[in-house]
Amino acid sequence: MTRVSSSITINKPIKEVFEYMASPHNGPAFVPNLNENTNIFPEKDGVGQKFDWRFNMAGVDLRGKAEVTEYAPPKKVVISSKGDADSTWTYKLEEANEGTKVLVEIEYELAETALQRIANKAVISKLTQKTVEQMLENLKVILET
Amino acid sequence: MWIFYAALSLFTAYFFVLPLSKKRPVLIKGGGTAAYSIVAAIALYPLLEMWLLVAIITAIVLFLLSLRPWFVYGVTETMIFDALEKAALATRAPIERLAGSYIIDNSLKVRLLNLARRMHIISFKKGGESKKAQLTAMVFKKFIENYFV
Repeated sequence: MTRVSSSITINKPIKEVFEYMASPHNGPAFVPNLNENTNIFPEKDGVGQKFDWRFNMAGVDLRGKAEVTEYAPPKKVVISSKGDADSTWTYKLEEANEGTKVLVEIEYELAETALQRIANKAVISKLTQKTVEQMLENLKVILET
Repeated sequence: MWIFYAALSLFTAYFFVLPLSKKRPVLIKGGGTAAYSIVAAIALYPLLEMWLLVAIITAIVLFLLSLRPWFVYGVTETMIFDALEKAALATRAPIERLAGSYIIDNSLKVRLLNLARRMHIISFKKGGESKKAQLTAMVFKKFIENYFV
């Protein structure tokens, strides 16, 4: 498993940040290469919520199914996914001076077939790190401005 | 000339055949639109006078530099505007509807030009657009590409 992480402080109340991040409907708006989350069920966010995802990495479409495995508002969400990439996405939130500190950790392992399509493991690691950093920047832009 | 025919074939495969084979719409962004248009114009060289070729390429470059348009094939006008409204909702960007265009976050004007029933040019009047407007445009692109043709 490869692990990448990043954090940022967002000048918004923790509850607002949590509610936006935890909803799979909002994923494609702030996760740079996530094209779509579909078949989200049930509608209500929480443990057991499942959805299908489609991610684009270096021009290659990756697909899979995800499930919310931990949901502790407004502090933590864990999403586990299986498919072309097996991964665990952890969002941890804590109150900071004038807002919310958000930490995102992604642990992932690409399926052999997907890896062959993208070709280079080091490139993928850099792309994923960039994705997580850009994701937090996007979140800040969406929620603060 | 063969190199331009080869480039035209590769671009056509990448920009058109690949998405359509997955039943997804074609969406070519500014740089891609410029490259494809210029290669196509040069590949047509045997059919054109030199001055006409130069005029076409100049017109393409000026048009693309000023509006940085996207070429979209495979979706209707309604679907495109739905995708834009959905993108603005997802990024919480204010959106204002004008006659035939939209303004995102008071800073980016989006206009649609219908070339045929499912063929469009989306142009962006840029200059000082906000980060949120730029992000909304990226999400808008994703939402168009998520449709099935």
